[in-house]
Amino acid sequence: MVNVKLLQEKRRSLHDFVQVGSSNSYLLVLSFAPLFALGIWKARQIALMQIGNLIVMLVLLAGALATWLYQRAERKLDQVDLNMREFQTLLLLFINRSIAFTKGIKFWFAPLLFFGISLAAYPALNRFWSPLWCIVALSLVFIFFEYSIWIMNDLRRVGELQRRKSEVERLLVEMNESK
Amino acid sequence: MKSARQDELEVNFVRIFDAYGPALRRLCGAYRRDLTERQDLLQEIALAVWTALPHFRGQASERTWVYRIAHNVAITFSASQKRRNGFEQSLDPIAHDQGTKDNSPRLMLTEAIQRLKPIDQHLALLYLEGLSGTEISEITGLSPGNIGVRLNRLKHRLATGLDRKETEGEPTSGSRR
Repeated sequence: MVNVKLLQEKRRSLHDFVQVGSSNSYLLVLSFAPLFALGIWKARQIALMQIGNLIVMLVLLAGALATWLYQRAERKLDQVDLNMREFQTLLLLFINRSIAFTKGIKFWFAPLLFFGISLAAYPALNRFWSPLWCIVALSLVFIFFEYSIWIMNDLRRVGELQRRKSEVERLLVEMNESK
Repeated sequence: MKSARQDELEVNFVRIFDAYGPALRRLCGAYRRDLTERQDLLQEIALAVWTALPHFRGQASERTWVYRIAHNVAITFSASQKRRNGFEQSLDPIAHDQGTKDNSPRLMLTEAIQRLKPIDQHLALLYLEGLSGTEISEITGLSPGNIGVRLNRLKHRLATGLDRKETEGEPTSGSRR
């Protein structure tokens, strides 16, 4: 039969179904912010580096806050004792939110983050390369960065969420059919 | 040191699983073919019941509450397993149970249920567990009238499916529901 102690130690949950990242991913994001705060202080002679580090730190803080709010909403999925229709409706709502959140990363989080990193890195790169080559190099890295995020988020993660969404929608449509 | 509240929760939890365990095992057997996955699903249901138990205030009967949780978890679990396994794993023959002898009418009924749409499969399982239309309505969120219409249609469809199996020469024994 079921062992109560085993249940208390078991970690799997329904959240696996819609999980965007690890359950404390906002802490991981937040842990990098102090590094860039240190970078602001260290780069106090170079305004561009300071601004770059400041932008990165603010974006990381905003990202941590957004992730924390998202994971707070995820806890509503603990209402697994709702009736099937209500639970699937809640699940659908949450999946839509997950899709919007995941897709949004490449639009607001990644470009801002990369812009800050570029500003911070530019003065150092400019010592070795001309401004034009610095911009070309940073642009190429940015394109690669966005492409990687597109592969990881849009193709894999969003694709996965869209499949789950269609399953939930199909069940809800069947439930709403009167014939 | 465990509190009295914690003790009470554990006692209630064990009582619930003693009362509904066999039904939950049948449900898991209907949803998953693989024995390991069935055990996994049962544990997932147990975990969900354990998590939800402190918040249960008797808003619904204990029976409907347990079935709601079980079906919600089973649907989600099946969807997750389908992605992991890479192929459709809908309801599977109960005859795959270890130690179960081949029981043709039961197998035929399960196969007939497998051909239904997902929501009708849930309704069939709940009906076969002896739940009333009102209880099924509370579990699924469908209106009692809708449940009545669907169940009548289901019974007809299942009977037709079983009759067709008989005329095709499949052996059957025992009475049909």
